[in-house]
Formats: sequence, C-alpha cells, structure tokens
Amino acid sequence: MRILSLMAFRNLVQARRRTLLLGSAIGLVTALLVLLLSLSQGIADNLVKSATTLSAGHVVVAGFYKPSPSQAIPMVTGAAKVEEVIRASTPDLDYIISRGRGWGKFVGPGGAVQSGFAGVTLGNEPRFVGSLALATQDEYKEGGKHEILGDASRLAEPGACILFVNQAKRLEVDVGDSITFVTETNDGRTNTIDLTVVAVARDLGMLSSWSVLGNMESLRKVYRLSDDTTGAFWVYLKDIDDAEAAMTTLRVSLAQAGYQLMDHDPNPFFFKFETVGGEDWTGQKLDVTIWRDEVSFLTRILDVFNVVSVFIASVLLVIIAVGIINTMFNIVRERTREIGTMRAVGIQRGAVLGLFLIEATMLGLFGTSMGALSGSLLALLLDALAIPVPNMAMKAIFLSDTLQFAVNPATLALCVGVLTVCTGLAAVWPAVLAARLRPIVALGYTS
Amino acid sequence: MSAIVELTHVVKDYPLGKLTVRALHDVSIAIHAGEFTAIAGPSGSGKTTILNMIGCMDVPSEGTVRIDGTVTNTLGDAALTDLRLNRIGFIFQTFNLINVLDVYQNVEFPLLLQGTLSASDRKKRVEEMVEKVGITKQMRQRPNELSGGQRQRVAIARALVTNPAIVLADEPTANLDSATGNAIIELMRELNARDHVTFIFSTHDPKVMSCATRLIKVADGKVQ
Amino acid sequence: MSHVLLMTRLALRNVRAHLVKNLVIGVILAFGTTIVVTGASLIDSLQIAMRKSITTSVTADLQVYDATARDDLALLGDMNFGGSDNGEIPDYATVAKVLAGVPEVAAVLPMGIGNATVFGANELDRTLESLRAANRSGDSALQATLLDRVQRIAGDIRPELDRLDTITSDAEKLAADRAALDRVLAAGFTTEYAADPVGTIDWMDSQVAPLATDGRLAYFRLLGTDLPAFQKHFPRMQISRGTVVPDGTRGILLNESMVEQWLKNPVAREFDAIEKLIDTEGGTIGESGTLYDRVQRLSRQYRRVLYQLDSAEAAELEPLLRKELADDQGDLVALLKAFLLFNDENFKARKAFFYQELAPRIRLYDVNVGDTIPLRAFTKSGYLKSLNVKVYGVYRYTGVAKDDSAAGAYCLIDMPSFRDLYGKMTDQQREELSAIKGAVGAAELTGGSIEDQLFGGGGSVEVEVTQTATLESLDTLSFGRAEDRQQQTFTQAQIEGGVATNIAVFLKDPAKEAAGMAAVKSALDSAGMKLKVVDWKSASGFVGQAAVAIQVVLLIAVIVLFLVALVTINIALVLATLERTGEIGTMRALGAQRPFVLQLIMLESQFVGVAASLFGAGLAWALVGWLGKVGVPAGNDFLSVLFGGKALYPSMAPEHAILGMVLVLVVSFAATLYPAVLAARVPPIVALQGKE
Repeated sequence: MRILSLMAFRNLVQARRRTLLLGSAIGLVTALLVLLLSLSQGIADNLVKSATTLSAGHVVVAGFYKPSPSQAIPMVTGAAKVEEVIRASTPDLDYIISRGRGWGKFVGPGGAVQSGFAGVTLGNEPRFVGSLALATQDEYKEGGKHEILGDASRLAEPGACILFVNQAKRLEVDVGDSITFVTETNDGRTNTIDLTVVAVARDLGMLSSWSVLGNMESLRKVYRLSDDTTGAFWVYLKDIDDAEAAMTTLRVSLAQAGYQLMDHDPNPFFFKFETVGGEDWTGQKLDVTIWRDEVSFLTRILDVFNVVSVFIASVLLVIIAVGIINTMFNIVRERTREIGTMRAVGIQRGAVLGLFLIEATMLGLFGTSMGALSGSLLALLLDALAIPVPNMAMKAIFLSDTLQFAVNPATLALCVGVLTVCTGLAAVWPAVLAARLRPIVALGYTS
Repeated sequence: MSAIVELTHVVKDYPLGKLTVRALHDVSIAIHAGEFTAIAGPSGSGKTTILNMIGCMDVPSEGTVRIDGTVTNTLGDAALTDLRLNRIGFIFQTFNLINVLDVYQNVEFPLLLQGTLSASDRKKRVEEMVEKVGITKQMRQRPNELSGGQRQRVAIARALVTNPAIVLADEPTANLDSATGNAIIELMRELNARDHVTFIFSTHDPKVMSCATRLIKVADGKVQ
Repeated sequence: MSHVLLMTRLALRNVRAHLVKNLVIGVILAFGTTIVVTGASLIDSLQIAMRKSITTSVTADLQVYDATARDDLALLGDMNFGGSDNGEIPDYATVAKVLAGVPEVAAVLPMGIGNATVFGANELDRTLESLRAANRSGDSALQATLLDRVQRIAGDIRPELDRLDTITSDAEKLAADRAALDRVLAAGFTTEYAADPVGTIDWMDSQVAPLATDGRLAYFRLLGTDLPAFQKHFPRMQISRGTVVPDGTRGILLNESMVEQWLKNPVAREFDAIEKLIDTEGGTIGESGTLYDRVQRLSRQYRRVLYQLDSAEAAELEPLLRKELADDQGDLVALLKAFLLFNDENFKARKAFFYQELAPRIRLYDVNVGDTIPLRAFTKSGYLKSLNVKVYGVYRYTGVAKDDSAAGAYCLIDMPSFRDLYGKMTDQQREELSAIKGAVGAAELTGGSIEDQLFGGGGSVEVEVTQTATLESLDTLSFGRAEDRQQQTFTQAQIEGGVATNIAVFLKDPAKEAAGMAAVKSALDSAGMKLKVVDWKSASGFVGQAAVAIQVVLLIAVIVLFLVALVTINIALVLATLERTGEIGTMRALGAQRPFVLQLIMLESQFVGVAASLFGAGLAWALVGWLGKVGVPAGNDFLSVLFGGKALYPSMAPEHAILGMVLVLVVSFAATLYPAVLAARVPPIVALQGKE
C-alpha cells in the first residue's frame, strides 16, 4: 500500500503539467461549489440572526385568545403563569423574553410605513439591547454625523421606540423625533399613539423593514390590553439546535399544566388568523413553534436557492467527471507498457487497480484542497467587500442588502471529501480497464 | 563542385539540467551531391545530432552548417521549415506515415504543403513516385493496412516526391526484418544510382554500411 | 488553396481517427449548446409572455410618474405592504396634453394606485339593514321578526364580552358595551324601538353592530382610472359577473382573482385549493402529511358554513347531508364536521355536493355584485378616510386562469372616488371643509349623529371617526357636495382634471420601446415636468425584478458551466495533443510550418464544435418544441404572473440557435487555443525519436 501510494505520488509529480491542469479543473469546481455553499450559508446565517432577533426566540410560545369563536387575537393571557411553566420545564434554558405583537402604520414627517410593532419589556431582555447594532446618524440621514446618537436602553421610557435604518430613512426622522403609530384594534376601532424615537438600529435583512421596537406599555395602551397579557414568549436555549426537542418537551409540560395547545403548524403566527378565526373554540390556546416556523416563508427561499446550487454543482460535477474519466483513460493508454511490466513481475490486479485509484484520489485531494482554499479565500474577500445587491428580488433572495458569505469549516471538509471521492469514483472504470490488461498484451502493445 | 552539405567546425551544446552537455566537438563534414553516405556510430555518439543539423531541425552552437548553399545558423523556425520542405526528404526508423491519410495522400502531403504544383501535375508526380517504389497496387490503402516494408516504401516515395537535394534516412531498416530491410536498401541504392538522389543515413547495421559509398564514423561527438 | 484543402481533409480525418476523444468533447459541447439554446428560448419566451401578460393588464408600454417619488413604481407589488409612496402628479390633464403631442404615443390613461380595507358586513349589520328597510316600508311583522333576531344575536354576543375581561384594560368601554347589549336584551327594548325606530337603528348601528365580530377584513388594492378608457385600452379585461360601471358614474369593479382569494367563503376556498393541489401537483390526502392536516383543520371550520344557514335552510340541508354521508345519527354540527372530513375516495363527490347543495344556501362571497361596500383607506398623512361605493361587476383577464395571478389584482375604481379616498381635495372641497369645521368646531364627533347633522341621514356616506379624533379626521367628510354624492356622476373633465399617481402610456409601436421612452422623456423634460418614464418591466416592480434576477442567475449558471466546460475540454485536448506529438513532429519535419499545425488543431476542434453545436441546437429545438406543446406548468401564482397564464409555451427563434452555436464555437475555440499552441511548439526532432 505504501509503495503504491509512493508510486502514485511520483507519477503525479512526473506528469506535472497534467496534474496541474486536471487539479486546477477539479479545484475550479470545488471553488465554485464552496462559493455557492458559502453564499447559502451566509443567507442561512442572516436568516437565523434576523429571525431570532426580530421574529422569534429559538422556541416560541405564543397563541391566540378568542373572546368569540370568530375573533382571533394573537396573544397569551395569564402570561406570568405561562412563563413560570416555561421556565420550569425547558431543558438548557438560556433566557426568556416576552414580546407584544402589533401591526399598523407608523407615520412620520417623511411618510408612512406599514410594520409590525414589537412590544419589548426591557427588563426581560438582558442580551437584546447588546445584540442590537445601532447605526450612526449618517447611515440614515444625509449629511448626518458619523456618530451614534441614540441609546437602546432608553426603550424602557414611556412611548419610546427603536427604528431600523430603512424606516428612519422613509419617515425622515432622527433620534428624539416623534412618530405616530396608527392601528386598527380588534373591534375595528382606529387607535393612535405618539412615540419617540430613542435609537436607530442597523438593518437586519428583510425582516427589519417589518419591525419597529417599542415598549410593551405603549402596545398595551394602544390596544387597551390588560397587564397580564403578552404576545409571545421567546425562549432562548443554550444551543439553537435543540429547539425542536425543546418544543416537544414544552408541548408536553404545557399540556400537563392544563393549557389547551394548537396543533403544530409550521408557519408564522400571522398565517394562522384565518384558520384560528374559523375554529369553534373560545378562550386561550397556546401555540408552540420553533424559530424556523416563524420565518417559514423565508426558509422556502433558502430551500430554492439550495436546490439551484445543488443543480449547478451536479452539472459541473458531471462535466468534470467526464474530463477525469477521459484523462484516466489517457493515462492508462500511456502506461500500458508499464502496467504490463508490473503485471509481468507479479503484481496482482488489485494492486494495479489500487494504484490508479490512489493516483486519482490523490489528484482529487490535491485539487479539491486547493479549490476549497481558494474558494473560501474568495468567499471571505467577497464578504469583506460587502457588494451591494441592486435588485429588490435579489435582496429578497439573499435576505440582505449586501452579498454575504460565510465559510463553514464543516462544509469545506464535506466539499473536499465528496469531491475527492467523486474523483476517485470517476477513475474506477479506467482503473478496472488497466487492471484487466493481460501482461502479454500490455507488453506487446505498440502504438 | 561544392559540397551539398557542409558542416564546418560544428559544436553543439545541450543544456541538461544545470549542466551543459557537448554533443558535438568540432565536427567538419562535407557531403557531395549524388553520394550515398552512411553515418554510423553507437547510441549517444552524436550521430543523431549530426542528422538533426543536416535535417535543419537544429542549428549549431558554433561553426556553420551549409545545406545546399544556405547557411542555417541564423535561420528561424519558419525558414528552417521551408528548407526542410523544399530541399530535404525524410525517411524515419518508424516510417512516420500520417495514419489518417492513404498511401497516395501521404505521398502527396509535401507537395500540398509546397502548394506550387497544379492538381494534375501533382497527380502525375505522385503516381510516378508510387510506381517507382513499387506500391501502385496499395495506393488507396491506409498505412495500418500495409506491411513494414510497404510502409517504408511509401515513406521513400514521400521523401522523394519533392525532388529534394538531400534525403535523410534515420535507421531506415531498424524496424524491418533483414530481407525487407535489404529490399529497402536496394531500392534506395537504385534510386541513388539511377536518379542521383543524395542519400544520407544514420545506421549501425553493418549491411547498410557496406552498401554506402561513403562511411562517416562518429564516436563521442567526433568524426573518426 | 491546396493548403486549405489539405488541412480540411486532414482535420476531418483526424476528427474521425480520434473518435472517442472527440465524442467526449462533442458531448460536453452539445450539452452546453442545448442548455444555452433552451435557456435562451425559455428566457425569451418568458419575456414575451411576461410582456404580453403585464403590458396588456395594467402597465401598458410605459409608465410616467413623479420623479421625486420616494419609492419606485411597482404596479405588480413590492415589499412595502402597500406603504409605497410613488409621489403624485398634481394635474393629470396638463401632463396628458404634453404626452398627446408626442408622435410615438398612441394613448395615455390616468391611474391612481392605493389600498383600502373593507370590513365585510357582519350578520348584525345585515339584519339592521333589513330592519331599516322594513321600517321604511312599514312592514311591522317583519320588523318584529328582525328585532327578535337582533336580540338573539345580542344574546350570543353578551357572554363573549366576559372573555374580554381577561385581556382589556379599557374597563370603561367594556362597561359601556355591556350596558348597550343589556339595553337591547332588556324586556322594554321593543317598546323603545317602537317609540323611535330610526333613532334606535342608528344607535344600534353605531354602538351595538361593531360588537359583533364575525365580519371579515379584506384588503383591496385599488386602481383609480378612467374606467371606460381602461376597458378600451386593455381589451383583455373582461367582465365575468355584473356589468361595467356606467360612464360618468362612481363605482368599483372587483378583480376575480382577488374575489376568489379574499372574499370567498374560506371553506369553499379550501375545497378549491385542495382540488388544485390534488389535480396539478398529484397530492393525496392519505393518512398523514400536510394535505391530511389541512383536511383535519377544514373540518373544524364548519361554523363558516353553519352560521350562514337560517333555520329553514338548515332543515332542508340536514336530510340531504344525512343521505350523502349515509349517517342517521348526530345533529347538523356533527354532520357538517363529518362532511368536511373527507378523504381521497370521496373528495370529488364532497366537493360536488358542496357546490350543489351548500354553496347556494350560504353567502359564498363576502361581497356580491350590487352591494355597496365601505372602502376605508389611510390618507398620505396617516388618517383614515371612508367611502361607500357600489360594486358593479367582477372582471378578469382573458388568458389567465381564474385563481391565478393575484399580483396586480387591482379593483378598478373611478378616478373621482379614488381621489376622495386618496385624500386630495379640490379647492371646492377645501372651502366646504372649512365651512364644516366652522360649523362643528373642534367637538368630538360621533358617527351617526354627524352624518345626520351634515347631510340629513340616509345617505350612502359613512363617516369614520378615529378615537383620537382630531381636526384632521374631518378629512373623511371632504368628498364633495351633497348633491354630487347623491347623483354619483361626474364629467370627463372631472376624471382628467386632478391628481393621479401615475400615467400609463401606450405606444404606437410597442416594439420601439426605447425610442418611445426617449421621446416621452424629452417631451416631459422640455415641458419642465419633473416626471420620470419607466418601461413596463421596471414599472411592474417585484415581478419585473424577479424576472431580471432569474435572468442573472441563469446567465451566471451558463457562464460557470462554460468556464468548467472550457477547462475540461482544454485538458482533454492538451492530453490528446501530447499523445500526438509524434504525428505532429513528422508533419513539422516534412516541412509543415507552425501556423499550419496550429490551424489544423483549431480546425479539428471547430469541426467538432460545429457538429456538436448543430446537434445540441437540434436537441434544444426538439426539447423546446416539446415544451411548447405540453407547456411548462407554473407551479405557483408568482410564476403564473411571469408566465402570463397557467403554463409557459416556449418557442425557439433562429437567433437562439445562433446565439448558442456561436457561444459554443467561441468556447471550443478558446479551449483549443492553448493545446494548439502546445502542438505548434512540438519540435520536428520528435519525429526522429522513434515516435509515431
């Protein structure tokens, strides 16, 4: 085996030009694949970050309260008790925050935006303020100063709100200005409340155009809600990957605590009004979902992107495999005499087969490593350049205003592994052919 | 009469890695038209290098090579190629016919490259040559359908078709059995005698050497 | 000449001699051609289909709008939830005059884009409406029945208020609501009604009716326009129910897709949706999975049917259902639940039964032709305006399936009504408003009373008052003189004189879009108008951009594909060349010049390229032809907007084949350059080295 590996290696070194050519082709494909996957990972990272900041915790305990069968209000009543149950029964709990849910129109001097109104109870959200990157004034105001004016911790003040850059731009407001929130309440009345902008945060992808942060008191006031209600509990775990398991556990514990639960429907709460409004129950039901459910409309985009990536990658793989097979046949032809000699001195078929496969695999490993390296460097470079996405539809696909790439070592390893194996597999046919050569024929072979 | 091939104090160095290998040490040879010259010597003697010089495939490091009155030292690839095309015919050890062309087309190949003769002249000339080497019957066959001897005959026809000043033959009998080899030598002798074609060939076959009108022995890069 | 002949002959023979290598390269190239040609045909066909679908439904060839607009015009939707600000064109008539002077322009049409909500009337609203009518006609028996029904509904609502205790902080309002219901439920209420029928109905309209929560909120995308002209210029538009809005009359035409998606009874809609999933995507309900879950959920929606049945209808239906289900136990609720819990076997039968027996007995659509609906919209300054308009009909576009393309599903409304909702006042209205303000002062206004005060009641105008009633909420009162509202008519000058958000421009020759656009632009500029001109694709918004995005993605994919193909072919050719050094050396020894060798190798691969690209183009032709016959199905609404129908029927033009073939030849040329240079560098000496 060692001698075979050595021979394979020497063969590759000897045929330097061919090795480099083929290696660079394999590398090119690897680099492209790595680039695509980094982009996909970048989108996925954006998605997780913006989703778990603006739309959901890792697990969400929300639900609907129905005063009458046809009226569905997205809220949790008896909030304190629900929170107790969650706290007691979530394994590996990090922290819980509660969010009020509202929707309406924010009106400022420059215009109006339709957006969700998230009721934040700041005391509940130790990490939230820290995780929010505030924007400098020049990011949302032409000729503004390059300094951060607001202070997210002032969100606790009555009537305070935090806007995102895109909203501040549209409304033409700055920190300290006031805006008006206009909404229709559940009984069809129109209520308004004046809010003061205390900070402007950097955009977090698409979701931040539909989210204004305010405090829960303002939300209660505008919707005339009683104290022991909230919109949803966002439950953060130590590890986001445990979300699914935690959801199952929570469902069981909440049911045991006597709460009515809605069937798991992997969609955001605002998709559920119609269904819930048509059902015949009244009172409170809780709905337990995970973050992915709350942004299901976005994960679908990611799925489509991944399908396209895989399609492109497989087409490339086919082309490159054809190239490798062709090359290996060439090598076999070229080395017929050598194979004959080897066979004549008593080397077994398996060893000949092994030699070719090892050679191809080594070549593959070389090519894919180079490719993965250059691909990830390119991805990091492109990420650092933060190339702006000009097109609205593309912004929706990339969930961001700039192209973002994230290189994941596990993905890199997977790429290198899979492509190396593919290279090895592409060499099987020619290698079998080489191994089948009869020594006499091989030795007597003349061009 | 001046020599058709004239090597004067030719030195040839080849780079080999970091070293420089001197393949020819001050070689001077003059070959006249109509001669039937054998250049003999063991492998690595410099025989092939001399042949390369005469065949205008290479130029000397020092000294001069004059082929049919043209000094090759300063010529570029294109001019050397032209010389090869118009003044020199080649016969190779491994025949080197163009496999995808049939016998007729192989012989016609240099004429087409020259592009001077009209189609009908070309046809006449090729047919004449093919007949001369005795393979008229095989004219429409591909090289891989021919025996070694037949192939070499085609190669001879191809070498002569342009009426070259010199025909270079590199070990023309090395890949042939002795009977066939003899026939080929016989054919070349005949052409030399009848048409005064100048033949220069490299060989280490004593039989071939014995047929030569002139024998140049080369060893260690020197003419002995 | 003989050179060319020789080279061609040699190249052709070489191609044949190295068949396997050339097949490999040929297959890759043919594959590439097929993809490019098919892709180009698809993209082009998509463009044509989109153009046809979009320009003939709403955008026209060009759109003109405010150059200072904050948002780009996006007629087929964007990401702002209708919050887009496209600026405004203060006076359509002056711009239209300028545009009419441009020789390339065939016609122009004013447009106003806006959003409105409609609270579907609830059961109590409808009963009160009937009660009002019965009172007017003096039918006292009917009034008694209806009043009884009002009390029954109030009795149903009363316990719901108790549940609000848990969530509301507004105890005052809750107490008031309770008091109002108690007043209706009180024994003496009939006497109270008899004393002042109109006053009591008005009071119930404003205080009791809002407490019934079974009305549904629907969102309307409004397109204000010159309705007769719109129909003339967009001939694909077709009235599928009702009639057109009579000339010079206020009124609205609903879009069929919108009606199906938003106004249809949810149970009926779910039947439609499930059928679509089964028919077009081969879904099955089965024992589990999403479709199964949907059916389970549907069964819990029985109230959407049950509550629309009166006792007579319920009595008729029960035996029918019993027969259909072969079930002689259980009440109507149980029967309905069981009916809606269908499976793969009985789905078709249940759907047929639903439309045959249930649908005629329920209100299948929240809004029907002939209804007058209260449109409510936020003005630019964020205040609510309300306007009642009559639904004259439902329209659709021919060539688009019934439930497809909800994007761009505008409800068409007359221009004066649009302006009223949009909140732009004419000078006349401004005067009137200040008069009203003077009359009522800054007093808080309540619904019914102000209407009575100002207009004498009974009109079709609903006054909406926000809770934080400020003076600006008086905007809602500002839609013209009382006489105008009663007549509901206007002149052509009134359509054209006033604000519009955008203008649709039809060109005489749509193929010369760029020239038309430039002409329109320069005419507007020289008239000193700060307006911008965009083509249909840009005006369509998200859809147009998505099409661009798809093109970019395909382009990148093709580039990547060719890059890799190029490298692979390059390698194959380099290896082949290295194998052929003997042959090349021989030719060089025999006197072939370097360019000869270079050209020979290039020619060889170009032969392969030509053959492969012809083959690939042929394959693509067959593929596109096949697709053109069977159609590329649009899996979802978004695609059906792009495709302009349920499927795209692509066709191939010669330029697609030419494009693909040229591209492939370029690639094979580029891929051969390096190996050909390598070949040309082969020294003649190799011929002497025993290689052949």
